[in-house]
Amino acid sequence: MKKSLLAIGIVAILCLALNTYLNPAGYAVRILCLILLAASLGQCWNIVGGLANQISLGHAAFFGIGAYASTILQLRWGISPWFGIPFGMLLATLAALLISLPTMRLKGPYFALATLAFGEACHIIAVSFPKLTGGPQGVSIPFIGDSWKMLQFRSAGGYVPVFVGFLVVVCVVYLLMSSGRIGFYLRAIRENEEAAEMSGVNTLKVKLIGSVVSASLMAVAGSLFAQFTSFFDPDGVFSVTGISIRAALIAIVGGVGSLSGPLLGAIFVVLIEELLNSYFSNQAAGVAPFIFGVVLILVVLIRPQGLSSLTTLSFRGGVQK
Amino acid sequence: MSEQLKASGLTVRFGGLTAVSEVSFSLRQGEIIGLIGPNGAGKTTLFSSLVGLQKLSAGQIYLEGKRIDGRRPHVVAQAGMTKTFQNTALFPGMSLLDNVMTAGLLNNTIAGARTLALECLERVGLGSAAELMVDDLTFPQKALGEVARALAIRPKILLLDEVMAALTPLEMDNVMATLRDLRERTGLTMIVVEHHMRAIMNLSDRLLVLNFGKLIADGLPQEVSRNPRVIEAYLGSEHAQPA
Amino acid sequence: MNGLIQSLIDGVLIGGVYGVISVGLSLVFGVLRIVNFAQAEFLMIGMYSAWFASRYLGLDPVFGAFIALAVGFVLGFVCHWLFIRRIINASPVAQIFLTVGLLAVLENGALMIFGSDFRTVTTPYQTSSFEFGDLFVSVPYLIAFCMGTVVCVLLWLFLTRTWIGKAIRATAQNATAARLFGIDTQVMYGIAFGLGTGLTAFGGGVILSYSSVSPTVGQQFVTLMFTVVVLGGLGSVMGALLGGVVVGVVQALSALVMPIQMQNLTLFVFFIALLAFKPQGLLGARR
Repeated sequence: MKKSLLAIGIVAILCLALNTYLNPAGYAVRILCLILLAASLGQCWNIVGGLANQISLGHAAFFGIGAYASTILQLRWGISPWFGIPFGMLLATLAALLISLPTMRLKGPYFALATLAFGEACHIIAVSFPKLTGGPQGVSIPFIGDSWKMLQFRSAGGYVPVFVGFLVVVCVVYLLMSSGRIGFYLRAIRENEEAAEMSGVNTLKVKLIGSVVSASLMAVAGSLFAQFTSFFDPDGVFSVTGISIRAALIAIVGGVGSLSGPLLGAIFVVLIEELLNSYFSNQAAGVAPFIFGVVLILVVLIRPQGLSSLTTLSFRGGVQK
Repeated sequence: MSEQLKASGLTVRFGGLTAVSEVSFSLRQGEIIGLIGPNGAGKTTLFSSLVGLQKLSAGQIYLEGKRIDGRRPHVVAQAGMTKTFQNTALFPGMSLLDNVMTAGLLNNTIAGARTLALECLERVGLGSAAELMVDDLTFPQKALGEVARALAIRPKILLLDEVMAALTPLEMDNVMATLRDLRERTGLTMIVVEHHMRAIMNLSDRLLVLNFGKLIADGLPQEVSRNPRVIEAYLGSEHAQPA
Repeated sequence: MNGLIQSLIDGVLIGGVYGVISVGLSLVFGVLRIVNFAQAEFLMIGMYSAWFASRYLGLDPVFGAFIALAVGFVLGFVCHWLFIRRIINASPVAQIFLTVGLLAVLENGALMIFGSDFRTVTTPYQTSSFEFGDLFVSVPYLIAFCMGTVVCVLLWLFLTRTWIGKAIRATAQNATAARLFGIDTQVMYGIAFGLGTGLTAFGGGVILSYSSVSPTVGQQFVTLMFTVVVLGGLGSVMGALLGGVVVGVVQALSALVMPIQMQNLTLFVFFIALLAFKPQGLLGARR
């Protein structure tokens, strides 16, 4: 546990150092921000997908809820995102409870389907109430220059400390959930739910906790994304392939159920995306997701241990130390 | 002595098939009850319905006077009744100790759970195997490991589903001695499903016999073994003799 | 009242198509026990096939749909041979992500090849309908319904009366036993999978007569297809048809009370509720 905390700290310091060294408005710093954000997305998914083995394909629901919540509060009533973010977390928590309670007992693919439907339902809601959400055209956050109060910065470099801070939080949460009492319980539930119940574990409660934690953190990621890009639309933040699957992919490629997995996955995914974007520019919009689809297929076929570790995880930095 | 466990009219139906039919019995604290019957008689289904893993189509279960049928399995476990699984269900990818600790965490700290887990493992003779990974254990070790895990929730009633399946006669004697010892020292009540007749006859205070989901006998081992219906169930009707 | 009946009519007709789109998914699950997340992409492929058949061969989608069926079958059979057969016994997680990966590949592959614009076909009967007093029965819908129903019946006959159909069902029920009888289960799985994807592609071809195609068209149908299948019971042909009609009606009725974008919302909520309370479907599980 201590080793992992140290590792997190070192990575954080490295990022911050990189940030001061590089040009804050430059391309490299922007990439750094994207990687940090992507790693957070993957780690959020890792909490339910890796620890609890609840394969969710609807995490975009919470991402979008967070993005819209903090942005609407900002646009309508001038409320700072620092308050908007907790509000988004609250909404996401409610949403997570709403979807989790009826679906907790569903087995793998059925649960995935239900989450998929939920994500799409949220997508539709965002599109259907334009007075509230700006409808399919999306929303913009007006530019006001550098402002810590409104969480807005001229250049990407300003966001780095915030994103680093968030990634650290998500990683620490992951660590806490993979060790200690709840770590034991999550592992047990993952391996054999009936035997876990027989050992006195309230599987429903534990799964709900995992679900709520993951959802609320995902909402924060959505809010941060909104601030960073200052424009988003329902198709973007509620996207099945762009957010839900991407989050899972980042966690899987890097190694599910490990602390560092999402970070490695994020570096891989973001670098490839940027490479493709610069090579093809806007012409081939589907190239990156296409390649990721291929990667996903290859991971399943070639590195099945990488995925079978989703069902029987060997724990690193967890309980046994 | 009052009843610790009372089951009345337990019935489990799967569509057209009735796996358990109107089973009623009761236990006093500290009794060791043997549950026997031909394969497919419904023993495992009965166990599952007692702990809440299987929904009852009809019937009530009272644990120490409180109704527990229809409650979630972890509630039943926390109330004091748990079971082991027929083909062993230890959590793979973990050590034996971690397995038992998971159960030991009930109303306990992690440190407390560790101590309790080691105690339970010692109790079944697996103290030295604590750090082994579950995947490296032999089948008999896994079976006993499950017993240790079940013990870690400090149950009042333990349902054992064919724990002695893969044991040699010597190992069986050891396990039986352990179970009797548990009962003497902690007053643990047990229902034991076993196919080894010798073992179950020696171990049990009382026998329940299940056939096609129905309870066809409930009494002392010697009586039950002479019961014509029981003989018929196991061996076929030519062998039945008048009582 | 008339509006209600009109909606019912439209719903039932569309439902027939939903049935044939979804029966493929039901077949795949019933035989291979795999939830194929990429199934809706075959709908898209079917639509494009029929579109090209219309553009370059001058074929009406009614006939183009059969070309779509063939394309869908071949592609599905190949996918099974390359990927699906390796995960038949794998963990549900592996199955989920393989088919999700396939979804991404097919959808974005189409995006790269065809671009993101919407394409349509025009048919002479596109806007015609039969009139019964105040009620309209739209001709494209009617044709779609008839084709859907006929194909479902043909499938049912195939599965119950032909040797291959029975072999497929045998494989679904007990693969080991089927092998002992000399049935090549891999081929059976391949045929079943190809048939499943082919049928969904066929449905796409049928839909083309009144709908437009783009690479992302599959997404709208994913939840719909799964709702139909869960509703009708996984593995049941008639269940899929019935489920399709129910979904069609639910969708049409909800259009009466809410704006068009929200039609699918009712569907999603319905789907989630269905999964939560009766995952075996209304007609019960076939296993």
